[in-house]
Amino acid sequence: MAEFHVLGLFDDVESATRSVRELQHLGVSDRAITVMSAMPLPEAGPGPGWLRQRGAPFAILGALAGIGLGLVITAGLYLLYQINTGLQPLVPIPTSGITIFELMMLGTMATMFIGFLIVHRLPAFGRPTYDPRISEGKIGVLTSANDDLVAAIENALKTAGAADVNRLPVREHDTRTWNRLVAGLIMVAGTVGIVLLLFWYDYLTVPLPTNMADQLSTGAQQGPRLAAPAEAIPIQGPDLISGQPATLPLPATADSLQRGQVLFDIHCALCHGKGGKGDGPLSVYFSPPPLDLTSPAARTLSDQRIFVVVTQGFGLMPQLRENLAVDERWDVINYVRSLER
Amino acid sequence: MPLPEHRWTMVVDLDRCTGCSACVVACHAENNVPIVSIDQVRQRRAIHWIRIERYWATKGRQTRAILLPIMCQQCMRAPCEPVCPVYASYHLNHHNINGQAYQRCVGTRDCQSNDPYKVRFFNFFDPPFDEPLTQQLNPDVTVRTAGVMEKCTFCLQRLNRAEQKAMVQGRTLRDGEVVPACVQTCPPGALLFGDRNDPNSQINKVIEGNEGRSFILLEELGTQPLVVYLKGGESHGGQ
Amino acid sequence: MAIPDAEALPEDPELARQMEELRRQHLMLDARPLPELADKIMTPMTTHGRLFWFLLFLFGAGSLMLLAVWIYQMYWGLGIVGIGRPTMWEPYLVNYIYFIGIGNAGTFISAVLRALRFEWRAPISRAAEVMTVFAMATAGLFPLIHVGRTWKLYWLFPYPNERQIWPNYRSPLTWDVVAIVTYLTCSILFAWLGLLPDLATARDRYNTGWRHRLYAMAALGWRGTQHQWATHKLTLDVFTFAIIPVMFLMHTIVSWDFSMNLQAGWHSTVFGPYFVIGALFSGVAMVIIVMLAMRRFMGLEYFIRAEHLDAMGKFLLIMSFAWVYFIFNDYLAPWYGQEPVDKSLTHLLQNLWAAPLWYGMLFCNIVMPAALLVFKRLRTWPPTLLVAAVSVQIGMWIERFIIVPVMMGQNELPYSWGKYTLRLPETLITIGAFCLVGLLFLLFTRFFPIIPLWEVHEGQAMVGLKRVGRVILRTHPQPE
Repeated sequence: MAEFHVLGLFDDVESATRSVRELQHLGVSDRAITVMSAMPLPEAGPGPGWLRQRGAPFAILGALAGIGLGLVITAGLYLLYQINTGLQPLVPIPTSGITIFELMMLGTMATMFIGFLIVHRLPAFGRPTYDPRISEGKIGVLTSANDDLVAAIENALKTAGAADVNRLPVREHDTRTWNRLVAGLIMVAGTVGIVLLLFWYDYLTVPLPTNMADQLSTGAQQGPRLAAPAEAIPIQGPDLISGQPATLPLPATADSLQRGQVLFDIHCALCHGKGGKGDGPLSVYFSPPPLDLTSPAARTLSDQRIFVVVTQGFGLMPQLRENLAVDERWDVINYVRSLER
Repeated sequence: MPLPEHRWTMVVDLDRCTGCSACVVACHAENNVPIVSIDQVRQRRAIHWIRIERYWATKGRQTRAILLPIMCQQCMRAPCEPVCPVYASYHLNHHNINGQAYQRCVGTRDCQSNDPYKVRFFNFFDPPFDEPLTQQLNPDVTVRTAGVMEKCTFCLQRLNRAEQKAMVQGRTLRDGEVVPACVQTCPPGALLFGDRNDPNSQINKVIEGNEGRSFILLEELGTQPLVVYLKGGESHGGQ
Repeated sequence: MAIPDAEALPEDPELARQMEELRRQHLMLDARPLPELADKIMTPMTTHGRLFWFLLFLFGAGSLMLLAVWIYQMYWGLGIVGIGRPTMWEPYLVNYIYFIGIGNAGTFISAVLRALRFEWRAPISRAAEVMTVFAMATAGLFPLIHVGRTWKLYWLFPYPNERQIWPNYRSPLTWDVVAIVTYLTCSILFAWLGLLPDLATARDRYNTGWRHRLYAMAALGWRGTQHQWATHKLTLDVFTFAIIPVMFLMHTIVSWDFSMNLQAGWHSTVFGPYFVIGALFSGVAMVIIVMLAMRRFMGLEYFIRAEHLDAMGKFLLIMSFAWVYFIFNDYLAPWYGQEPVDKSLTHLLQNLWAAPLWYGMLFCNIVMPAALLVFKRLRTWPPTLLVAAVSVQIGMWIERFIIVPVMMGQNELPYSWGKYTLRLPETLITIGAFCLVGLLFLLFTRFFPIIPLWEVHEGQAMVGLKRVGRVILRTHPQPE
């Protein structure tokens, strides 16, 4: 038994309604009759109550979803991640109410629209049975029937006053493509969501120059520093004076040590003691006392630091740049280093 | 051990302020505050986290200047905080300071429009720090880029460092141990700084001892600032 | 009647004359067959006269200018705009309020008037709704243009992130984001829903080529079954009643950007309704301009008749009175209270450099509508209606300019007073924004029918003329 669609086109509402009555007399069920028109004709149909409203649950669902989202992003998040802003309580009711209300309305309307699409399985793939003349003002009455009823139905439509009656092969509403479309949309949304989450949790980053991560204030003090002027003595850190050796300018030869000892005894022993232990005759008059040159604290001083101290003085120690020439100062330093051993 | 909550307060003694603006310069140096060009100053875009407002008062034939050093008032009920859509302006509960997170600021400038003291500043262009001025920058303080709001933070970097040092040494902060750059620099000592939550602090004594002179700017707006002004000049029997 | 036909004229010449006069005046009584209506509506979509190309070029150039100046501003920084301390808000926000305001009136006409069952709104409801969508989209650009670091603006949306920081919903600016998203989405869905039956007609009418593919996709396979019509009507009803509070709340939220602020002159509780009425006022003026343009340049005189011009003109006049009420309210209290900062603001507006703006605004918004729209003869003459509408547009833009940059220049501490100077970048961007709305609307009219065919057809079928004795009565079916 082949199934056919029979589509009758009518010029006015009365004849269309008459034809629906005829079809009902023939025993066609209400659900098999579809009336198509270019403007709403609620009275042209099998009877009142024939059109069941199926949209209301969507609105309520959407409203609840919107309220839920609003509560989460206002109250929920505020309580989870508390940031004080002086003037207002953590979950102020008026401001939260505004956001919740807006999202409730968005939820209601968006879900109503989506519900409209879902209920009628729109967009309709597979080109369900239709006639373009309907949008020119004709009213279409569509019914499906199997072989034995088809002729009777066609007759009924013609007697009711149809302008045109056509028998068309059954072309079902293609829900499979629709399902695939929805599944595809959900997958795309999921993929986009995952990519976004990767960005939001900093697994993927976009290094923007205005991120203020590369700071001018610290950057200026990192990396290659300004070169020190010539003959400057570095006190700490690697030697950056161009052309100067990294260690003692004078090697610690026996001559140097002997000269150093002589000079030390003349210039330094009075305070620092003959053995450099900070126990010279004048040491009792100084507070803090002269440094014990054999102590661990003295060992950590670099050669250059000792040179600067001898040259410029330090604290209560006077400067000795007029007492000792540069070479002599290095000799003394060689001797002091030998004292430490 | 939870850190004690501070209520950092600044006292501005208008009787002592001479308008020398050393505080302004010190703030620029300490906080990497940019200098803008003359053109920009004419368009009222100069950035001075603390500024000396000068009002002219004329009585009869005598005109005198009234000087008002004004910086972020660090309001307890700051109007700039709830309006920031991204929480760049928020309340630091521990120090009771109004914080400004530069990296979070998107530059809507709503905080500035809400601020009745107009002590918030916007970086209209990238701040010009030419070499070798970059060597002078304070590495403890972010250099802000274009599009970001900034304001006085009571030298929060100094507060944090002092507190860290105290924590390492196993003690609490001592009164007078930490001062902002402006307070440190002020030659006549017109600016005083301290913790009102510390009952023995000097600042409490100053405020309680000067109750007749003390006032708060725009008190009727209810912002509850933490900057207390002491009246000076004619309003207190001075010149 | 599926194909409503104009009822046959009675033999009595007097009654025939009366009936003809009624038909001439009222669109809903002048029924034509559906194919003829479809012809009238769809033909302008495919005709491209010289004016169309000229406008396309002009608006397109303006929109490109908007984009170019915006990119220039993003690169160089906001310093190129005339703002400074304390006038940190510039005409970008004025445009923001302005375009959202225009959008509000579109929804008013298509939703509120539909809920109140005003049949005369039928021909202009889609143009109004579409204007809302495009004005809102343009308005949504302005927070991006106004902000210092546009590329970080996605922080205003709530999304889970590593820093565990979310937007601050205590701030009016985040309410703006939520409201714009809601209103724009719902307006687009509302417009699309109303378009569905007409897209089906267009799909059937153009049965080959890219137009057919476009309409077939957009119409979503609409067949016009009674089930579909019933759900459609239910959905439209839900949308109508739900979008009305969203519309009112949208511009109220925009007003709360200002009234939540401690700035003098802004901290007023009347800002909510004041802004909403201002929005309707300027929006109705814009709909009038669009309506007159459609009528004149798209040959739609059949659809837009004197009755529509009359109704819209009256609407504009009523809005003018409502606006006067609110602006009087807004300025009475500060003037009466004589607080120093309010006194200085009033002085600024009435006596100083802002006085031309202030008096110009009052002239454009009160005097011009009152002068031009009180008499019906003037009201229904398109040139005067156009002049009144344009003057209201100018007046309302000035009103928002006064609120944003001018009032920001004065506050409690006189040391921080300043004057905003209008510079080239924001002027060009403002012009570009108008061009963008015009471009979008122009392109829409070429791709989609701008008059709701099914609503006009339904209205004509529902409303009839009945002769009872010597009287001609209009008949309406009972609404369900």
